[in-house]
Amino acid sequence: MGTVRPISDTAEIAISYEFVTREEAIAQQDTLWEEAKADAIKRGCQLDGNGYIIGVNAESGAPMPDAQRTTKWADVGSVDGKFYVQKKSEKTIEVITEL
Amino acid sequence: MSSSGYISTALSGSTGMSYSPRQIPGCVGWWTARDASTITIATGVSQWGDKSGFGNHLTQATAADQPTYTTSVSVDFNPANTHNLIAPAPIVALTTWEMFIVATSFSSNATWRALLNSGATTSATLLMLNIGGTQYGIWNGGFVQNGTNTWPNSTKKMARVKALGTQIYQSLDGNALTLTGSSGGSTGYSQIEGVCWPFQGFGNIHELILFNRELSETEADFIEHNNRKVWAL
Repeated sequence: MGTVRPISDTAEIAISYEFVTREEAIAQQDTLWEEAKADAIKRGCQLDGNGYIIGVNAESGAPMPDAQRTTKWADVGSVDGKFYVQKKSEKTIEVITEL
Repeated sequence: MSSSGYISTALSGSTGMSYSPRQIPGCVGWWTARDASTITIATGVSQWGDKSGFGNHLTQATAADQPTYTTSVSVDFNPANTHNLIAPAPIVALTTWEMFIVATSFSSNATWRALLNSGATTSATLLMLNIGGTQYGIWNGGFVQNGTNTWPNSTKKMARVKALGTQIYQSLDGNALTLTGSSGGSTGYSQIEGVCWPFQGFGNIHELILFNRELSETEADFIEHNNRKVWAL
């Protein structure tokens, strides 16, 4: 497993796993994509014939086959000869406004 | 019926009716977090459906880049990731447009934040609506700050941006538009590629309304008046 660090000075907000080789990064990317699909299925999503995620409607929970499908976890990035894969999202703030 | 006559009828007829920006001609994009039925969830938000009737949905196919959703309140962009939503080709192609934005800014870092672009870096964007510290302004090739308007953290604000080619106008809270000029920009900088809020800033977007033409002040007042009511601004 790589370490967590900002991916670059120009995209310092992207927190990623860091790897020495592209192969390691791709392996991590594949792992995260499989986890993302499993998590999506738990919340009611389905997979199409390509293994893409068919999202669900936020109100009804119904499958949305005509909406944008989710096709990958993320691309492997490369900066300064090292390779990066974006971490899972962690919601760190809550909305404090009220309607 | 003349255009102005139609508008006058539409606006006066809106009293007592359910508010819709579609009452004003030229509405080609209406994305509101109040309507959960327009949101598609996969890992995060994979699609924010357009309520204008033109099908200009904002989308994101990459799981790691999908923003989160606070039901009926906001689509939330977290800078720990490269959350963003991509605008469809008809939106990107617009060179004359007006957009009304209701959003909340969060940040512990007085640095750049962007609201209208499709990537995590300035080089990936064509138009950004930047907020450095509490200052609000426009990036159109060079940041043009409107020092009279501020957007403090954790504050929900209503912004208006108008693009007439490279001429970019901006306002906050229903104040008069300010021409930010075209210095440093090019025609490309008036394009909307998508929506995000990167650069060490958090941002929650409550509603976006886009028109494919320049609005009259009466029409703009109608939108901003209703935004104030809907979002308790």
